[in-house]
Amino acid sequence: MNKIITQDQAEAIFRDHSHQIYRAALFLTKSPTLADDITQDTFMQVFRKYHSYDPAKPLSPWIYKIALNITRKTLRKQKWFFLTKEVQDNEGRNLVEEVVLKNEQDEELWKEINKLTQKSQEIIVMHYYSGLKLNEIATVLGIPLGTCKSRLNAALNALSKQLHGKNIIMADKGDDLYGTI
Amino acid sequence: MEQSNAKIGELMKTKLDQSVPSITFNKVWNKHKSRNRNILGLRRVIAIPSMALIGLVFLTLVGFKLIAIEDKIDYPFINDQQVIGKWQAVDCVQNINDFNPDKKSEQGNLFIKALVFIKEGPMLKAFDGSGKLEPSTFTWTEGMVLNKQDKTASKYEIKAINGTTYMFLESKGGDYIYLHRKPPYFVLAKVDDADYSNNKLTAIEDKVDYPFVDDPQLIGIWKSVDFVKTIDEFEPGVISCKGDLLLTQFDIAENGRMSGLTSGSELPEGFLTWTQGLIIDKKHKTASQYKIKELKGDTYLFYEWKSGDYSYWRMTPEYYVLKKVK
Repeated sequence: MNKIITQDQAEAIFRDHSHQIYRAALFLTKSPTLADDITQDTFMQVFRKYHSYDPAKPLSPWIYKIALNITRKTLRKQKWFFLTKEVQDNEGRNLVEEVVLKNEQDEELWKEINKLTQKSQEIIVMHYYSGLKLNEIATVLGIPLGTCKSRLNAALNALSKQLHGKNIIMADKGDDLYGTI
Repeated sequence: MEQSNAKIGELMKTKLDQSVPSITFNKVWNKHKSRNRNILGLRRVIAIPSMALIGLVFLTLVGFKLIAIEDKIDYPFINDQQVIGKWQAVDCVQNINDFNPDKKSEQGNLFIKALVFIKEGPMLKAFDGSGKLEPSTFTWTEGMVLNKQDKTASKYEIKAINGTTYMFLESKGGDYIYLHRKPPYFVLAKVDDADYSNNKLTAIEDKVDYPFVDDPQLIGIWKSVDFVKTIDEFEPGVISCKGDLLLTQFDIAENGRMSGLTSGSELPEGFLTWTQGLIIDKKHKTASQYKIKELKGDTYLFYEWKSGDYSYWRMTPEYYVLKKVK
């Protein structure tokens, strides 16, 4: 049975996962400040709830589940702040954009990915960037695998539609890159 | 042709891989440790008084239950002819001898307004200001009023004072049940010796022997569409009544003949009759007024619903609204 996490265990987990979590959060929030906060809150929760983690299962999806919940809460709060005119300073909003892509087509694709809905962006970042398999993403999102596939397909369809006529053609969808299982 | 799926991953790596969090493990770990301490401290602060409070409430409830008096209430019925009838509350006194018919000792409103003793044990009560009688869970036997809910047996004594018959009835409330205090006495004056079985003596009986006067516009088939408090409340196409309607249809024929349907049965011909302005129930002795109105191109019949609420409790009748379909 699991117990309270030791400092060594915590450090190893932080070292192995914090960058990926931070980057996923950065992609979803477009704010380094928020991404930092999300990363900190995620790992504090990971350490606190470590006793409930089942070591027979992969650690990554468990951490992503926590991170995604915190990100969603943060984004909801941001919307509320926006409505009450207390918008948190997203001073680093354009930091991600500072990386100049090598060609126009890449820029176009990046722009369109960022126009996707939050749900679509979540699945895209977990699948194509963090490398989670679809069944792991299904666990993170708490949805059946079939729904997860449909959601990814819907995201890709939306992207394909947005890119129509811009010389970028979407290939097959879903589990081509990292596989389902 | 681009293979964009693979490209998405590459693109995201290009865009994101250079970004690193500014927070360090030590910062997160220290925060985690200090919050844990706070939470534990807070838990102790909250948990100890909470447990104490819960324990106190529990002990109080159990304690009250343990100390509550439960009178013997399973007495056989013994008749007492002198109590049968209606009694009106007039006072509340600590001792029977304190009662003075000319000077009330209880200045506020009395909890009980009236009690009715019915032959063979049942009782009616009136607790609110209107003095409306309602069925009660109290029963009586010679010398006692029994409350099965509170498990109390209140003794009564009857005395004639200055030509009026008074009942002194023990009032066994919480002070008696939980605090074991001596109960005070309700003083009730006798109003009548009537038999209130079924409370029929007080039922309103309308005049029902009207001669037949024709009203051709009433003849036809009418279907219920609503039930309203007043005629003006009805709005065509809007159903204000929640739930199913008991009366569903009237088939009104010539010469005062009519039948109808309810949700559960048929109203046979002869059960109700009609004459101009009235629909008459001779058995229950009610004469309900009706009114016909044209509203938004349809013809509606407003029929006074005189149920037991009207006959026994004097409530203002409400209206069935029926739409002419044939």
